[in-house]
Amino acid sequence: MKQSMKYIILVLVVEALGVVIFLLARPSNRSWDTQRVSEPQVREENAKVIISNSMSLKHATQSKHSAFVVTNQTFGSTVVQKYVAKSFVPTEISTNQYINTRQSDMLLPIMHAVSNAVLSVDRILKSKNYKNVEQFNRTIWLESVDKAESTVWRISPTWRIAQGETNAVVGSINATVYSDENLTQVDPSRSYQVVLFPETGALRDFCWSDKHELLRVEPQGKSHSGYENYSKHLGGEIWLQIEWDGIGNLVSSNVYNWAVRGRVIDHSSK
Amino acid sequence: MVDLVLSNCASGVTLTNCDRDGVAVNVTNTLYMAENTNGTATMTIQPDWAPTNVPPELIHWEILNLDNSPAANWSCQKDAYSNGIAAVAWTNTGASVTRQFKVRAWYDCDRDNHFYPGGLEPARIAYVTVLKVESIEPDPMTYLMEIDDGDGDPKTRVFVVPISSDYPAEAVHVRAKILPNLTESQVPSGFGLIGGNGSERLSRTVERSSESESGKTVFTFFCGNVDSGLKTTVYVYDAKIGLYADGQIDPVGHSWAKIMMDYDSKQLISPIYQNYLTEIGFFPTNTAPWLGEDGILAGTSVPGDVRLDNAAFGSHFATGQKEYPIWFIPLRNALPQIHQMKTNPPDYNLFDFNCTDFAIMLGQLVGINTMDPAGISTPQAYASWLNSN
Repeated sequence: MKQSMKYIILVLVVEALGVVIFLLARPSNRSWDTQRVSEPQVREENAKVIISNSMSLKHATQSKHSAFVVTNQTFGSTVVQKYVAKSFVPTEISTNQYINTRQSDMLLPIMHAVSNAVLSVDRILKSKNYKNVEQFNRTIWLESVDKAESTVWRISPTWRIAQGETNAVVGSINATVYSDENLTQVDPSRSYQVVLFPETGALRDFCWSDKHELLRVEPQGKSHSGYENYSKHLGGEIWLQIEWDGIGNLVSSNVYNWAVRGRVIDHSSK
Repeated sequence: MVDLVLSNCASGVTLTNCDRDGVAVNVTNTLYMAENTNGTATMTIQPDWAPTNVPPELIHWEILNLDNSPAANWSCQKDAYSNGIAAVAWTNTGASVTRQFKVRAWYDCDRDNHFYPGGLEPARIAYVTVLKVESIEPDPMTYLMEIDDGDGDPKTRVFVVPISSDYPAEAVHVRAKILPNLTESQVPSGFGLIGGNGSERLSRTVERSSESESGKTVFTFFCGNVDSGLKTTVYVYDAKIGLYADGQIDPVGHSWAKIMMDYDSKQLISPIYQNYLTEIGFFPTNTAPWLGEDGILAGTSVPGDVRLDNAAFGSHFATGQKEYPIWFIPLRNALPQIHQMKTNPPDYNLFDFNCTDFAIMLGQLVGINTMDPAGISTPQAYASWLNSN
């Protein structure tokens, strides 16, 4: 049942008050650092530093953002610890265990991109060369402009529920690559997104912005050693899809027409 | 005359005393021959009786097609005699048919006449039948449906069925339909289904009673070491939508959804849409003003922003939540719409279309109706609704 209108208005007033307080506090937290990142992001020797089993996502400095205090709550069956009173942002991302590009040479461009992202983000976080963007509600992301590489990095922290840590680790990285120095023309074929598992920091998803290649990683489960799914757009609705298991064995390789794949075959009409 | 029990996949025989010049033959093994494969299969023919110490090179074999009009797609040829076994290559590119072959053997007594000649019995007649595997498919059952697998190969088929909340859950029964219509016991050893639960040659099962039994099961039909070429995959899918609301009012609440699917069944979702199998939340764009006449709080519609993964809920956690099983087809139909909203977000309006309205709408897209979205939908009301319904 919905609440009465009176209650809704009361709630909205309280919400509005909270937002106003939130907005008033925000300007002091915005610290645009215009320091440029000048060094190339990727070294060839790091090319194999890619899909990490455990990208160590270290944390965390307490930001100035005053956020919220919450008493014990439940999330599913997990009892969340007493909520941290402040929000955090990651201070570094680093890799300490690697998987070489054993699956296929066709993954090399993705490997290079992920490696580039990890190295760049680690440097950005350590140098605090970013701006905080406080968002509606409790979503935070960090942005950093690398004019030398014509790239805008967006780093989205994530929340490790079990540890009760808020925004302390890197959850995803968006690299928006521009084709001009003035950062006006986005190049979607070189822009990409990297999503990491919050608990381990290992790569979960990769996709180029124009979706010409995607990689999805399934961690080891009870009955399997994990999987890596690679999809390459061949044009139209046609995709090459390759799957390896967690130890690099080829599981399947198929070309699918997604214009028809998944469509119900109605035998009753025959 | 000896019948061969055979297949496309074909079968084996036992021939004795089919000698000429004193060699008996014993065709004991099964000949495997896949239908329409253009491949060759090997039948071994072993001397059942022959004088000892006959050099292998003196043994001769003859395999003759006795059909009046031998089909071009049938042939057989002698291969090397080795270690007492003559390997004969058979080629079949035809459909399910029965063919007659004459098999006989002799040894060359002209070159070594201290071997005494045997009687001149007529050659044995063998029948070779191609066993055709017509289909591998599950029995019809509630919620089970066949979908196009998109690979353009009619020999590969895909069926989907949800996991069941019933106990005991009805299992999926998968059967191979073959020609000729042999019974389970008539199917030659070494022939039969591969995959699923059970050891029967013509039928297997897939369980679907719990989340741990979600995933795909692949069925093939093998004739010895020859694959019939048919492949049927049954996906027992576990698809759910979770609806969540943070009903706290300090500072603001939030509602969002999470679409979940088991790993294997994600293979049935286009790569373009797989990244929507995650948390999905709706916000006003970060540049929209909150205050003023044109602000969000004044009820002005501002550009919206659909966010995924952690960004869908930030550091909110649910004070109200509920998960619902969803069906494959509504999910498949919903994902392009979600993609459309991600790429071209609707306007956010605090009163008419806010994060809670969006979460309610996501549920509706996959066939789950929750709170009535009429009026102003708040996370507080939604959290209460999810916990109490």
